[in-house]
Amino acid sequence: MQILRTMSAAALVLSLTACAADTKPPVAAAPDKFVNLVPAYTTFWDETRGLDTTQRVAAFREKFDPLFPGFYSTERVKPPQTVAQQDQRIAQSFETFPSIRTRFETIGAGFGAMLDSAEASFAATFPTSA
Amino acid sequence: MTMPTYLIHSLGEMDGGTRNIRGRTLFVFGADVMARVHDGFNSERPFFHHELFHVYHTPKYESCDAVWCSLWTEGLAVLVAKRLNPDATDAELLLTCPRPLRAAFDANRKEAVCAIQARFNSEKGEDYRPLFNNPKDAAISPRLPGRFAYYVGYLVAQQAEKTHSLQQLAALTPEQAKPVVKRALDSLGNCGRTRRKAA
Repeated sequence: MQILRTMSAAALVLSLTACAADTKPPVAAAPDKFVNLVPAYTTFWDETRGLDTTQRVAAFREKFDPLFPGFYSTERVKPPQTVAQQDQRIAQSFETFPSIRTRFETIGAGFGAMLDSAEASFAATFPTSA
Repeated sequence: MTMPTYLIHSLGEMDGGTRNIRGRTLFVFGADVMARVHDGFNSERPFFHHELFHVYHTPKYESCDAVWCSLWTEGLAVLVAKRLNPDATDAELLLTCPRPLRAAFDANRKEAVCAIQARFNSEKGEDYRPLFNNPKDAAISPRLPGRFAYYVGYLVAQQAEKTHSLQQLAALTPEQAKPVVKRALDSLGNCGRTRRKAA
């Protein structure tokens, strides 16, 4: 959206490990469904703590690319940005995650209900949006 | 959900908005940025209403790329969020990032209005960015924080609301909206061709 339209994109990848929280690939859901990748990221972060950064970034790309095809792909990297910078953003997400984890998980747990509720009240004001 | 919706770790890219990914328009929310930027919010409803309004309203403005178009679409989204959530704080309306926009505007009203008037019809990214983003090295002036145009847009929408309902404002086409936006912006401050001539 216009709000953040100049901000750039990022990363991705595939699964290294069995992810209890996402054994049903969200991408397989019907196109109009809600796909929540918060549990997948949290699980991935926990399960890849022992990897060095390069391996962990590669593992991220391998896991999340099929979960959200295109979003984390290098195809969203536009000059002057580089794939190396995208990798750096992925790596940085690992470093900063502990500081946001509690809120990240809280948002993930309550998001669907919050958005549904907001949509209902929005539709009451703008009925044609429903 | 109104459209396919993803809640993800966005790697710092976004708290929410639409993205066109491989030909599909998707509603994407970054739980990482929400966690960081929305910390302390009592409610996410104003934020959701802001984004839902964009989804509802933007199709009419997809080919409207000038600065005034963003001033209008963003300002109206903030107004809708406020009207649907009368108790929403400036923070919950995203008007305090990177620093409080209301206070900066109040202290530098003329400079803020004139900066937008001077770029009103521009479609250049270099004109858009310091108004609606927070580029580290491209601020218009040290007195005007990045994103200050969100607050100016909100004031513009409030002016327009004096003669239109929210639904009427949302229904305006770009051709109908442009003179409304121009009048409302002019009412916020006079940048004065007269003054320039006098100088």
